[in-house]
Amino acid sequence: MNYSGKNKSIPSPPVEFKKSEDRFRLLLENSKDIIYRMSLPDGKYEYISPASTNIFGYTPDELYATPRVISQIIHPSWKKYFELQWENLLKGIIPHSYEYQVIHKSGEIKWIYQENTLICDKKNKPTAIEGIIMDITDRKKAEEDLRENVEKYHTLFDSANDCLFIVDDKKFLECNYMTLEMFGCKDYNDIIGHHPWEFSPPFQPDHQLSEEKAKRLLDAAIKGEPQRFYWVHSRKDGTCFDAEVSLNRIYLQDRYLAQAIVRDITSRKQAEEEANRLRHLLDNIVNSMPSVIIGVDSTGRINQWNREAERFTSIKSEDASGKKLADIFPKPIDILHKVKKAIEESKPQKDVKVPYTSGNITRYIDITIYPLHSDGTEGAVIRIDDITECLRIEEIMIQSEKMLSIGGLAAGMAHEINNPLAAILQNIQVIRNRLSNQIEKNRTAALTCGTTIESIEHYSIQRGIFSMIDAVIEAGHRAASIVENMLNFSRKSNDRLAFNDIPSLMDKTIALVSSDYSLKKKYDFRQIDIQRHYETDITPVLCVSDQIQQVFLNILKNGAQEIIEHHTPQPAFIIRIEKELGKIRVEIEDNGPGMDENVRKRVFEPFFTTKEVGKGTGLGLSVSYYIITENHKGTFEVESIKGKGTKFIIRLPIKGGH
Amino acid sequence: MSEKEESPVQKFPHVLIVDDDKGVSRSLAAFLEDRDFEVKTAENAEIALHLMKDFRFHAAVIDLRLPGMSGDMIILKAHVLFPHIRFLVYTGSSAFQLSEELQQIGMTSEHVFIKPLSDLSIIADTLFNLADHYESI
Repeated sequence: MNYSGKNKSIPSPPVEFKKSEDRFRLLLENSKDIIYRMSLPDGKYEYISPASTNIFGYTPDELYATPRVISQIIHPSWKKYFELQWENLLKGIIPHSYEYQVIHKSGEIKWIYQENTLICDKKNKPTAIEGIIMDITDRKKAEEDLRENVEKYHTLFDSANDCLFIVDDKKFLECNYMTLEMFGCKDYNDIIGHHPWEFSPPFQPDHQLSEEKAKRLLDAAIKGEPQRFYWVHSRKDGTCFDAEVSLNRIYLQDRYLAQAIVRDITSRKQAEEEANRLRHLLDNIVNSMPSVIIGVDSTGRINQWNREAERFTSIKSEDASGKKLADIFPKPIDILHKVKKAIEESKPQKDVKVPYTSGNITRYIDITIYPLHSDGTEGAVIRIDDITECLRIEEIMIQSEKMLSIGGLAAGMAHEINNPLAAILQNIQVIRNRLSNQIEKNRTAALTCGTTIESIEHYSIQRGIFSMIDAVIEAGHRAASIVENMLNFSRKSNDRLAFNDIPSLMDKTIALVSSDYSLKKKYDFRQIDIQRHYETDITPVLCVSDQIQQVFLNILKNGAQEIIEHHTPQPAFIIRIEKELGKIRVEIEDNGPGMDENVRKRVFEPFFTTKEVGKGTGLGLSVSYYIITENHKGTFEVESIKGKGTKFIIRLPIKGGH
Repeated sequence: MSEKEESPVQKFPHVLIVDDDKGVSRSLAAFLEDRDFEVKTAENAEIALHLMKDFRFHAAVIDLRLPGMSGDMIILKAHVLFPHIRFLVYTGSSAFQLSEELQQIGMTSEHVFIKPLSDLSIIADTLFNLADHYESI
């Protein structure tokens, strides 16, 4: 190898050799890379090809002239390196290549790749260095870009808060740092190469085998159907967590794989469950309220409709929700402007004892509207309470008080009235006796007076004296019975609780009704067939016998009146007394005219009567109801079919309600 | 009846009626007299106790609500002084119930009559029976 510098005088070669040398020279001169030879140890270029103009910005001539230029174009950060390299070079140590930066004459920084061959003399002393210098700036930049890219993606991959991994149809191929963390692993080898279902409990909450389900989902994803699903994963220590998984197909290394994103949704799930639990709890509370509770927003749209509201309006919650209150709420109740007022004034609105007629039944309700304003969600809650029952009880109480005061008055008056009544009745009885021809004293007295008892009797009959006496007796009896009936209202204070035999109370009552002379004029109770079905061994019941008899009496009298007034053919009462658990059930059934549903529902209301004015007070059954339900803690029901008859059912607790 | 006629004591019981209402006491007396009872009337405790001392009564018919000493007190007092007298209560108070003391001296609901009675015979009959009972002791 013997390159010649331009300035060197080379002996003329033979013609063949000259041709060959020209070809080489041309090759060197046209090369894009610098080809050079530098003598050592002086560091002078023996030859440098013209590519130096391009790569360094200096022509070969410039470099031949001032060889030190080369040390100036070396990038400052590489200078130290080259000082060291130079020393090594002089010792004959040289690397196969250098890669370093230079500053082009224009100031542009370039990456250079330089290959070296050391030329030594026979004593192994370095005499020259030959080599080739390439501009690798573009390649270096591409490499840098690639490295940066890789780093960027790696950072993205590893710093993600979700698990990212790549799986083929059964194994983890690659995963990010979060995957380690989430699955509780320390080493990538704990995951890579393992099956995804190793990080799942054997079964998913839907009872499917995790392995089968995972394989199916992975298959589908790899076939190109993206999957998104809820999954229960387990950590290496076996604890489970809720996750949301999405699988997508990717194409990598000549095959289709699945890329997975797994997100731990434990806290979201817990929050969801807590929210659900709270919602259920609130729903339960709102639904178990005995009041109608309706929520509306500020525009009057319904957002709450509890079970009692469903019952009250017969409108289902699903049908009410989201609708305008104005469109759906029963028209007879005017609450719209109250709702408006409550919201506008931020003050609760209340209406009490509002009558509400549905069908032909009137009920009474309390309406309260509370304005709502929490975190800007304006609206109102409407609460409606059906107070019909309360009013009824209240009225019964009032009635009962009235009756008690009547009773107290009657008791006080009874003595005062009974004495003169006794005087009237006793005297009239003596008068009647003293007109009788059966008494010897009368006969004697008549004779003394110059007449006979027969004449006096005859006279009395002629002048209607006896019928007048009978009229006085009758009137006296009537007055006595009025006083007696009034006293029935006052029994309470003297009532004593005792164990009474219900069948015998019933028998006594029936006997009483049968002999009730005031009713005898209208009908004869004995016309009515009374069928008694008493179970044997009926336990005595702790009760107030008078009150229970009063109740039986009331039902029997009412029933009898209805039966007779409606000329019921073959009138009958069927009376059953039977044992029930801890109770005695008494049924009094008649085959009278019965009643329709409206009457049946109101039959226990005070002053409700179907009888013509003056014939009934309308108190009998409500007092009876009060006696059974309040005084004896029993139940009192009525069943009836119009035209077929009526059945009253009384249940009395054996141990009484006291 | 014919058997009773043989015994004058049984036939004509001696009865005291104590009642402040003369319309009641006199008519009851008249009724009993017509049945051959010996009858005296008193309108208060003082007179009643005087009469009991002066006459030997088989029985007494006592109203409860009286001016001064009440009927049941008269009965208890008279029972101590005149233990042979049997008592009936005849009252306008339908709520009347025999006190324990009255029950202890042998009175039962059979001896209580509530005014007004539609027929006085029931008192007359009871008085007859009491007199029988008394005589048999």
